[in-house]
Amino acid sequence: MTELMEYPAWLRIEHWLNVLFLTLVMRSGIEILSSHPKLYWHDDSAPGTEWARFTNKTMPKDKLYDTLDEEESYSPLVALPGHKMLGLGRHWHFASVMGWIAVGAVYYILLFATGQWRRYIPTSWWVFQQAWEDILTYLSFNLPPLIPGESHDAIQKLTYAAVLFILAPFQILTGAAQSPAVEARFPWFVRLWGGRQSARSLHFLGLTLFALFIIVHLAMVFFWGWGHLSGKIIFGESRDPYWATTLSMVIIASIILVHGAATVWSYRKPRSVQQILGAVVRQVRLGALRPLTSRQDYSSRELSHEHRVNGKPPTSTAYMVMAAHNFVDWRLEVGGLVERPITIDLPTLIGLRAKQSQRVLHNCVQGWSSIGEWGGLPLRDLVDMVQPLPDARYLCLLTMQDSGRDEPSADGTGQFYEIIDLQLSDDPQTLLAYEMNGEPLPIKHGAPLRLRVETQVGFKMAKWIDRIEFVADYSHIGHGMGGWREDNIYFDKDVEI
Amino acid sequence: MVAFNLPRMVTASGIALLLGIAVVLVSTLATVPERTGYLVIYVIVLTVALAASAVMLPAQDRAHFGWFLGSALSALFFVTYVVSRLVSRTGAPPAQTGWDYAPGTAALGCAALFLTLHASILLGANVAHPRRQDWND
Repeated sequence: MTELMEYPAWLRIEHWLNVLFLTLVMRSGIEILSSHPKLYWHDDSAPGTEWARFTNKTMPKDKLYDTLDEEESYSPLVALPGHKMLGLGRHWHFASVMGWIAVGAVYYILLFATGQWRRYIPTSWWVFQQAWEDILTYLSFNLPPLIPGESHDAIQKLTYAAVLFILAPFQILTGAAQSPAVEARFPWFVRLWGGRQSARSLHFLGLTLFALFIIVHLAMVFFWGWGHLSGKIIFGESRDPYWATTLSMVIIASIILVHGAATVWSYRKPRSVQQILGAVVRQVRLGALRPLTSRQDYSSRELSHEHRVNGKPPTSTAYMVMAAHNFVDWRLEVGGLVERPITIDLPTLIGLRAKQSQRVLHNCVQGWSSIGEWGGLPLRDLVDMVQPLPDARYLCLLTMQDSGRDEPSADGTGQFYEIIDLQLSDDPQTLLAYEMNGEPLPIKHGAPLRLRVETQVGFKMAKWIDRIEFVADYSHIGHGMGGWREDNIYFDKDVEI
Repeated sequence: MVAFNLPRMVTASGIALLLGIAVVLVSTLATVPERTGYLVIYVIVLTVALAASAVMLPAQDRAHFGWFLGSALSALFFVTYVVSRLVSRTGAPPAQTGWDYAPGTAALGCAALFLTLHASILLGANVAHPRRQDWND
């Protein structure tokens, strides 16, 4: 049993890597939370029904507001990078999660390959009985005995087991349940957690449990002897307590420095953070999540009474005149790298084929969701009609919204556009929607035409569309990042999660 | 900045915390070898009052008073317990002296948590049944 008294080198390295990645995941997670600092149990995210809120903002009751108005600016002390940088927070979160999962996978493998699993997993019911005795001992302001031949007492052993084998997988699974692609392909998986918003709330509760664990863990190390235990987790055995304490402080300071560097890098060179971290995450997204196609069919009773909205409608005179005349003057131009460019009006578009309807869950990048029924033309039908040239790889959806004019809450100006991979048009539920909940598409939801790509996060589903361009490359469009939000606020282009 | 709309959970937690103190008091009285007169009176009065405030918490019209009564009793227990640990009383039973009495620490924790919970209600971070947070947005 002596192997459980000492800490092998791999376990010590993994411990400190875990500290680094876990803290990065937590800070960047708080940044994501700050973009919609409200938690719900129901998938409609109905205003006023949140069970927790982390904001002082109140919204107007007499005019349209969107969820950008609800965004909070958190300090970089708690959020990475802080101050309303959701796009970069997402890059950090997903890249750190990948690092954390990789560290965890290696940890699991080595734990079971070397027999070190006995350090955490009890092999006798006696441990549970002793754990209760240990709690009573702690409540008596005393330290309980260690399990013979091991480096933990019984309650510590059970706590580590719970964190390693329950809490960590729980966080990964509730995180995955918030992926639009996973939700679209496996709606049962989301229901398993009680819905999308329940998964988000549970993910937050998991974060608080991790924070609580860290506080108690540090308190335990302090009470049991910082120098003694630092020696074990640095040298593998208890020796040189002063040197071990110093080294532990150096390692902790280094981790804080990494956090500081990540924050400064994000503020000074956000584009390079977007490009470098985005490139890493993108490969995993495309490999693991892109193959998933949407198979949603929510029941009509699950439709949200009030579907939330993000983005404000165009305020140009031309648009308002068009809207006042039920969009009879509106035309959709489809061109670029196609055999048959077309320009069609709304009745023609509606008459192209029988309407396809779908009741689906909408995932906003900020975290809220709603369930709506959308009716329209499958995008693949339009693609077939115009016959893309072999070079065409992307669709650029241009809208009538000018963010500088219409969207005071957004950082950036210019015509709103989004680019999606042509491949996404193959998904049977990728739709050009002209109806919502059986009615003509409301203005605030994108009238007369909007995109629905159910495996993607909401901001990719351009609203108020008036032109679709087939392109081979998007590096020359805007800042070349694949969309208005990608260009201006450093969002990721491929957003299956 | 931080606020929760969990009135039933808050009320249930308040009841559990008050009853937690009461259970410790009664079990201590039942298990100590020597029951001094003042201890018996203290425990009975405090237990009855704690139970009464716990009953008031879910009531439509008395919840407000119940929370304040609960806080007063928690504060009384907290101060009494800490003072009883600090003041040496020769000949007192072991459960009435020293800090190494686990149920006492648990009850002390219950009292501290109840006071914290009530403070969070007064500060608007929490809300207790039958009220709800007035969030329209």
